[in-house]
Amino acid sequence: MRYLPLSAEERKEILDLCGVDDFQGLIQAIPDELRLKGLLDLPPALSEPELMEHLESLANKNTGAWMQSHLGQGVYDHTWPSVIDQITNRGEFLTAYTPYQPEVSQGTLHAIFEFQSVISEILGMEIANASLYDGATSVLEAVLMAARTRPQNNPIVYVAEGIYANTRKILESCLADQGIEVRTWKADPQTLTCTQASFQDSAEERPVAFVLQSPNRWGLIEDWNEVTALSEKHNARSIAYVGHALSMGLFQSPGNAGIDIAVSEGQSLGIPVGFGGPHLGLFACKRADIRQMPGRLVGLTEDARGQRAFCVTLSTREQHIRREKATSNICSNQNLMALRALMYLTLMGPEGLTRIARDCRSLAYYVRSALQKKFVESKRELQVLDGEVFNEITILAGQKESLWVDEKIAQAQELGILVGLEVEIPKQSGFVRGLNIAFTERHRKIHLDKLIELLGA
Amino acid sequence: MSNWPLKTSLSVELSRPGHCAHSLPKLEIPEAPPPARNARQKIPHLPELSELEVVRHFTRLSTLNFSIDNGMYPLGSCTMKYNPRVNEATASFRGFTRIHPKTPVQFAQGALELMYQLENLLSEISGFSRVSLQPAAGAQGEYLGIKMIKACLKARGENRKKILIPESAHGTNGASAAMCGYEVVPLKTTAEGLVDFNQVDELTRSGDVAGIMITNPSTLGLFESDILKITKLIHDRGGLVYCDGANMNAMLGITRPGDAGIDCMHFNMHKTFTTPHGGGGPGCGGLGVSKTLIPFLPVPTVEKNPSGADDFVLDDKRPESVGAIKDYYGHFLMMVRAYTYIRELGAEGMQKAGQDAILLANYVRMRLKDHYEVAFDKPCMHEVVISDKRQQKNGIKTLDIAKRIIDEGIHPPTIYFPLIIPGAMMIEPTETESLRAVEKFCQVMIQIAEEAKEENAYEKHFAGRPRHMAYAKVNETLAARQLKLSWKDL
Repeated sequence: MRYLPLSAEERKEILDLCGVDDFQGLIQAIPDELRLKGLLDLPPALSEPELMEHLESLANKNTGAWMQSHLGQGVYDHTWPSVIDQITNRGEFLTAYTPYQPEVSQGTLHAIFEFQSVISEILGMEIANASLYDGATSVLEAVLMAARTRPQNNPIVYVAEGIYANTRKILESCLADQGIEVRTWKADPQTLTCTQASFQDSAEERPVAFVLQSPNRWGLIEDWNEVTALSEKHNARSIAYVGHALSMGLFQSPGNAGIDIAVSEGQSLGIPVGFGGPHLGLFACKRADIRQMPGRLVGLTEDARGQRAFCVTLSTREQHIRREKATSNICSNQNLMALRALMYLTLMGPEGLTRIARDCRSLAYYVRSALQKKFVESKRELQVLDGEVFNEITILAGQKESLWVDEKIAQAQELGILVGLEVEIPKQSGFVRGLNIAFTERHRKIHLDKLIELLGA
Repeated sequence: MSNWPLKTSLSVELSRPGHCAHSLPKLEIPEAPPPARNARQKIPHLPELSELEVVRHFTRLSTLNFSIDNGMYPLGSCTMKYNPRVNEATASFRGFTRIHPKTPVQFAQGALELMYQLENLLSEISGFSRVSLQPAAGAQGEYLGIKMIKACLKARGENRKKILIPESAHGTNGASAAMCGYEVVPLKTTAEGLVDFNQVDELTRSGDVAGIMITNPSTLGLFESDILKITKLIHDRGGLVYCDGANMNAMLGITRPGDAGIDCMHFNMHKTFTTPHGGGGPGCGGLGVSKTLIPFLPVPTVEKNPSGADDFVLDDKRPESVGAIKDYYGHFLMMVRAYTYIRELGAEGMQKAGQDAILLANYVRMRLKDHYEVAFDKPCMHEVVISDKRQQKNGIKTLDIAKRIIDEGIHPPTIYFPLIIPGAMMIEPTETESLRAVEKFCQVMIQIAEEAKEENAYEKHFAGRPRHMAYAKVNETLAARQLKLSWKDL
């Protein structure tokens, strides 16, 4: 076996050195009844050519990977320069572990320092950590951090109605363990954005935080100033969840609005959609809160020869030192993904980031304008949501058109198109159905026109 | 590893206005008007570099890393085994990388089938009834396991407050239990290096113990011989048993935690099943569960189509589920790698992996026991813990030894862990090392032990280590004092 070099003779040599007759002599500590008497029941071992063939046939069954896709809701099929794959696959990055020994981990540490730098730049925040699992985990950790800085007996967090449905579910499930109640900061049913005015609860009990997501799940841009103002009013922490990291190429950064904790899903920064992971959680905050921050941090220092060097710092917050009193149980970062995001932003530069953000928004605008016109002409109860968008648009299907979303999803599939995802839209009359459609630079004009024809028909 | 005496620049220091390395398609449609509100005021300060400049920068950085591909990396409890490159090849197939997690299942059957099969393979290897692949990493697996235990007890109408955790456990155990709102009660280790059964007996009499988090084999590299007694006792007293699966490598094809009455255990795919360590992630931390915990599995689960059709579906209608803890289904592309590895090894390979890991750790133990204090001088599993007790007499500490090892082109073992062994060095050679490489490591360790006996040993052999690497000892105190965390702080 190519990965297992010990020969029978060497095995015998080791057993002799240990003074035992056979392998069983080394595992006497395992109760006999627990020792497997035969082999595991696993399918036969495969050679590399067989493995490649088998895995390729499984991959090919994922026919969706070859369809024209407009699926979004936090995960976007953007492109990236191939050099990212080549460099991050270097064994020195791929097969190193957590940088416990800084003298022989400067590559990883230096990269994390640059990652913290680019993330704090795009989010406009003072400090960023070395990353967390994904966007949803980052929001969760942000709420837990906020709760640590605002200790309450019955903590409450207000989450904007426009947060992704998945994220909301995870927050509810995980915050309950710590007794934190999740309440909804209702969106204005006209604009589908959250404002101070749309917050109607009296909030007599002081909430620990308000969470606002932008672009929100309908693809609309929110105003971070609304969450900072509301948080200030209630002496709570403001949390900004950047729903699409590339939107930072065009829209106001959370730091610019004075946000306390800014988090994001970094998948769109050079990371494949990969059926949901691994992705990348971005986490940034104010320097004053650094000791309550979760996750790994790398700081600048020097070595004994006076060279600039880097090492993990403030690890007294982390679980391997603080154990049950740690700021989080997370002990990895998404390092390879962080490296991909760092390379992506380094390759794109300020100009590339601005350009891709502008282009994706233009694609969404083009389709929205065309559909708006068609829907008006058709006099049907269909409407593209108005408001500032980034790379997603949402079509609202009124009561009379309640089957429209299903019809279009099915028709599109016939044409080899994944047209979008269903979202529910809160209106005064209750929830109505909507179709959320995402665009990336993979879409050419021909794709857009096909989509317009299909949806406008 | 590089020992170039070159200054390593930050990318921003290399930046030149106008350089760029992006390649985006021409926009074929009219450009949208700029945002009317909430537009970005200031373009982020990112480097401007050509593609070659970027390539050189990151290639340079890579040479400053030690990695498995550079040499032996015997970090205890980290299982730094070879990361097969075929895993990278299969995980890069378009059908896996470009499939959106919300793709309707009829267009994502390959992904569901792979997850379904991987769950079956892991169940067979570990003896658990089912496996959730959702946890992003081991720590999230711990959290999920404890959350499910809590849900199970709640369903029984119980609200127990405490979790028992051995002092030798990984720090994550306590942190994960705390995230679920439990109070952590530490367990002593016996003179034999095992969990103290009598103490477990005493502590569980009160009826407020929800369960135990046990690491088996322990971080001392020892199999908990009383595991059956412990699981039975905990169950009799109404609790459940969590096992930290960090050391699953020692059990491959040899014994199965599920058979020992354990209720749940996380897998560290990057340890046991060769997904790349990546400099600290991403991990992938499936959770194996016993029958008792199946109703509480997170949603969605992957199931064969109940209609009898030959395809797979996602089931999110599980009334007693703890809900979702991670977006979508977990780190899918890591699952592809783990699946590739397991399919390549097969049953014989799996057993040989487990056995060779144990054989090589015992080889290290036998070769070093005359030179270092071995924490427990008896057969170990996949790792052995030694300490600096003898070298301390001449003023040489574990940290000195670690920095000395670096100059020999070998990564130091895990140091100062587990905490209960002062000056611990935890050595895990792994089965993918050749006997020759492990012997080379032992010779280096023996040589260092000899050096440590000399007069003025510290000045002669240990001061200023590492001496032959691109970087000498790094000042960690200075980093914590100045807290410069981004290039804005320079």
